[in-house]
Amino acid sequence: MSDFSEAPVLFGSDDHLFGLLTRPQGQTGDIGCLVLNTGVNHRIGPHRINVKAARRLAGAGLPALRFDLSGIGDSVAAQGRNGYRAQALEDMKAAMDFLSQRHGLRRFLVFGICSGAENGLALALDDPRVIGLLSFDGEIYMTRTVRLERKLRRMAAFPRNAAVRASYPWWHDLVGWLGDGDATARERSLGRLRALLPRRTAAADAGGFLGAGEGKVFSAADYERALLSLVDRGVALSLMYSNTYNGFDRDHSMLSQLRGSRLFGQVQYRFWPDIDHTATTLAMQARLLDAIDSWARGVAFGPAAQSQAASGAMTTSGPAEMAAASDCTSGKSREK
Amino acid sequence: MTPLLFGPSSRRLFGLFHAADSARVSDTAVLLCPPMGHEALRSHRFYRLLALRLARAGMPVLRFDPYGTGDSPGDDEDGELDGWRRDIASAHRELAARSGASRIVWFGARIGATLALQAAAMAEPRIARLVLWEPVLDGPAYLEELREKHVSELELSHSLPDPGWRRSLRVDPKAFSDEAFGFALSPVLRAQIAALTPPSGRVLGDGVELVTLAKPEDARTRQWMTVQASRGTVRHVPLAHPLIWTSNPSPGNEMVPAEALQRVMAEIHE
Repeated sequence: MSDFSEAPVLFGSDDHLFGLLTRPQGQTGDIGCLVLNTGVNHRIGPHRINVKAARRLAGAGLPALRFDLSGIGDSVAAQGRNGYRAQALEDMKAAMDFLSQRHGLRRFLVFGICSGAENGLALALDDPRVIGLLSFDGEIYMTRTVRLERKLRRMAAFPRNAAVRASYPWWHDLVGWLGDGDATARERSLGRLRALLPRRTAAADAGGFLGAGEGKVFSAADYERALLSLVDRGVALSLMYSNTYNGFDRDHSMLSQLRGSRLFGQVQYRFWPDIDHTATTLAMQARLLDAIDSWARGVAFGPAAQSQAASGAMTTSGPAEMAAASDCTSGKSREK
Repeated sequence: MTPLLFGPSSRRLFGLFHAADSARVSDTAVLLCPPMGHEALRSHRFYRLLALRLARAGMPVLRFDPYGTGDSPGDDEDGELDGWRRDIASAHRELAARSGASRIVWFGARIGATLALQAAAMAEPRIARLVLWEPVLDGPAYLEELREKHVSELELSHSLPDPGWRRSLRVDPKAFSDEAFGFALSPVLRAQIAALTPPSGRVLGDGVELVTLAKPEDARTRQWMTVQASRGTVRHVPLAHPLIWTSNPSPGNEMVPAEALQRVMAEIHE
């Protein structure tokens, strides 16, 4: 007998948005969860992780709605003239309105990976009903030094690691040109060489995890202000990062432009050396789901509830205590 | 589009029913059988657009997720081929009851096509046509492909991939075999897939048309259909397309190649 039930729901102004609501058995409080799309993956999420997350949350006593934004999955594309972020905001608010009106939920925890994390942040900033945000691979603000370190690590691995070599398009093209005489690869290679001269000014970190989507681009200072405004509002923030962009983290590397900020005393920052961008293996998923479960229990029900989460979960809850959970230097690094 | 849960209470399935455009109602309804695991995620958009277009052309359509997949109840570990074949039969009955159509066509891609082929004989009411897109006819090769692509995905998703993964893939046939792209493959499911071979003998009853679409270089499917040609109404359609079943849904690889969508549409309803 499962400890949750699931039902498809249509909502929004014309019932144009579609999702699945996973509800705990029995009575619940007034806190619900939104589980957001990652990129254009539909509501089940990459590797079906949104389904697993919603069921874990419901198992913890929290109703969870995983749904498709307009134009994604089975939600109908919007008819208005909103940009992507504005429309996503409208859709996420519609989801909260639906859960409020139909299920009596008034406060919300939001979980998102990558673009989902960015949408979740936009929602938290815009709507006071959000009381917690777990952002996985959301915005990054790395210093030039951290970026250089990352490049050096990858360069050091380059000669003996075929997968690292294969990850560079320029290497593909070079091999295609010099090895196979591919004329298109030659053109691309020469184009890259030409682009190196004259040297262009390095672009500042735009904030997005993998290049960001359209919409407002925060500077690091803007981002810090935004997060602090949420903290001051009492929003519980968990900023988690995978090993996909950078395999190593020291002293908040992913947000190293903000080192020294009071932010780190008030949010949970967690780097996962053994989980990639979408938790591709079952083992990664298990660890991430434990973390989601534990975090949500802690925010919704207080620190005591966290002990009910599965082993491997974090053991702190409120913003002040979460600082202690910042484990960017803990765990085994994959670095050799 | 009407979302629904159907099937026996012990094995409920999630489905989306697309009613036919009332101005152009046809006597044909279409059941869409999805691939499994990452390939199902990858092709979700294709299936949605196919359903919308078929419905607009006058055909009611049912999409569904077999047990333990997508939005259906159950966990990855519950997935196995016998149950999924029964799920297709269950979805078929649901579609027949909802649509009232006198003629039902099944479409399936990858392992969804294989399952549709295996389940077709037990369909009640009988189906009129079976359209299979790149069916998995060689189970061991499919499992090997999943292993290799799983490791490729891990390499892509790590800043510093572990060279040991590929070594393990080469020397240990069991390495990376209990999951593919984060979807569990239970021992039962693995064994069932490993046993898949091109079905011999006559695969469909009288009056059922069989259509396969496969890459022009796919000699195995072409040869199998050549044998089937002597046993009934069959047609093999070479179809080149850019969709990579194991890629992530992203602008880097076309989500819904227009030529594939048009060809599949045509094979279903022309």
